[in-house]
Amino acid sequence: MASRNGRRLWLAGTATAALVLPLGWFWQQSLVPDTYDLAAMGVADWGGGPVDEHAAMAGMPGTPVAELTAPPDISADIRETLVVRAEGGGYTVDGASPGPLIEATVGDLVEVTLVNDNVADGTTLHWHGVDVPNAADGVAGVTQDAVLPGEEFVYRFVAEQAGTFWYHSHQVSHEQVQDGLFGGLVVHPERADAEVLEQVALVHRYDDGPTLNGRPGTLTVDAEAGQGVRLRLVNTDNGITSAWVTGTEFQVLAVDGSDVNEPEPVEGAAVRIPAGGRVDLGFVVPDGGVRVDLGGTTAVVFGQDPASARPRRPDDVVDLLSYGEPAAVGFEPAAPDRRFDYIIGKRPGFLDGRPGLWWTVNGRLFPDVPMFMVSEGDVVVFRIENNSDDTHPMHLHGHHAVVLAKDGVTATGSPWWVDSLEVGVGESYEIAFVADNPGLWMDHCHNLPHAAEGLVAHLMYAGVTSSFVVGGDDGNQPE
Amino acid sequence: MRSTYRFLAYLIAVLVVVQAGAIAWAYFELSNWITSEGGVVDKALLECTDCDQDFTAEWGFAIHMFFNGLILIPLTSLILLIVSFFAKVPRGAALAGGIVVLVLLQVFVLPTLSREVGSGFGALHGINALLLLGLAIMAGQRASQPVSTAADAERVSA
Repeated sequence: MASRNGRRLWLAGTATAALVLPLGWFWQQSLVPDTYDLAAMGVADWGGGPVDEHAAMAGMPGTPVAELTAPPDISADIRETLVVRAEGGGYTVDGASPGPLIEATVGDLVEVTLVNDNVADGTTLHWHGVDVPNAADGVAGVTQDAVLPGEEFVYRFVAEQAGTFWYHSHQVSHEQVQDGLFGGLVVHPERADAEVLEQVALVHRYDDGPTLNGRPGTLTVDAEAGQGVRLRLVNTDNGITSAWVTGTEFQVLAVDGSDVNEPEPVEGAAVRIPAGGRVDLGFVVPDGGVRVDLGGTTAVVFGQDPASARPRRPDDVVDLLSYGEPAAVGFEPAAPDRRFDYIIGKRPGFLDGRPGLWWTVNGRLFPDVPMFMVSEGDVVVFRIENNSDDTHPMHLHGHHAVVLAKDGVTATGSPWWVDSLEVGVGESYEIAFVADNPGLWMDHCHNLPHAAEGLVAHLMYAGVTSSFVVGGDDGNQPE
Repeated sequence: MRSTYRFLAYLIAVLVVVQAGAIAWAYFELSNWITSEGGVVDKALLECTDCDQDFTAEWGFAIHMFFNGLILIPLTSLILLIVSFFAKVPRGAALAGGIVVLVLLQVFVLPTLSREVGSGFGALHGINALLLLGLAIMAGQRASQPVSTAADAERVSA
């Protein structure tokens, strides 16, 4: 009897160990060091391109990220100081949220001094959608150290592309952006049409509700009948939103800061704006006024409100894959130098010791995510596929990519340039770009809590070495 | 160990009942919020991690999808499985194993299929919950029965 009991206990103990030990092993393997160099993490992916340039760089001095700056001898055309504070349970930039709208003209050298008054975690500013020099990209632990309370940091970049952009913190970004640390940035073309009324509308849901430019409800803009309008919409939230126009037909003038070629008039269809994305709408105000609804919670009205009740979102959506007319993109994506997969999945596991269902990139959990290796001048094609159960607004820093195909269907409209691309559940996209901006660039989900849950990867150029570490003395925490 | 097994098995049954109550509570309140207060649910609301609660019953979603559904029930079923190795309950380990399988279906497989393939799998999620409830009660009862026959006693001590 005693031996039977002993055997039973031994069996039970073995079964328990068989259950608990693998869990413990997976837990232990998932732990991420407090401080690490992003360029030394993850799995190098060469995308079928040459490996030697990179290999030759190993152990050799390259250009540090911190030295990839705008030419220091050019003086600034636009000079701003932005003071960031934690107050009233959120964050402000120059005493308000959203922060001040920064306006520049193409070719201007923009110089912004970020001053952190009291944000304990430190902060940074990322210029979302602007292809800045790497050192001005504002990612804590990757392109700079977090700016701690009492410190300053100067961002300098040439605004090379006219369009609608925004800036936001890229330190503990899933909290700081949500709680107000952001603002708008507009780069005007050299010869802007002075007759056209420009309006920027930043969509954001704060803790206590949805807003447009920081205010709830409807934003009313004075406009006479016949007035041409360019409405610059920025989605600063973590989820996709829609805009729909009542009262007139409209055009989608630009997407993510890039003009649409020959945009045709649209009526009775909504326009989708991914998290982090921007869309410029153009229309002429008719006698009865124009109303643009955003996500069913806020709206902009020009002149009179043409609707007596909140208009329902049309079921039709503008398909940017076929919208506008084709035009040259300036490079040949058919025979790329490198071709990468960015396949998003989800599976149970441990993320830095926490059990749960986590995002995977190419089948692996953070930190075993790919590092996409490129050389300057490469034509790069990415296939982004979403096999997870949620949508992902994928944001590539420092570059604009053109959409080649969606779900195997080739793009037939205007070149559709993106920096923030919504990849729906079960969808796949093929995008292409020229690697023309050396550095170490994040390529992550702009549903910022997803990024904090490990949906991040990065692009690494040959001949570039990292200058900063995640963690470290400044507590760098880019997501 | 037997009483621990019994306690955990019945606890799982109770937690499944809590799940059903929580989700119904949350959806009724959500519907009230939309119809009477003009509330709007959009992706930004779903993705907002620290937004103020718009209605009390948001706790229902939190209980169903996080505290109870994602943490408590899987953890309890795992502990039940470990306890079953030591507890002398006839077919106790098999029942606990079955519970773990149903929990995995319930928490991981069926929600994933509901989102990726078709929401119809959500119906199976509801039905599977009843199976889980039944199995948990069965396991609890099995641990409550006195060891009656010699054959049982033999099996129990084996």
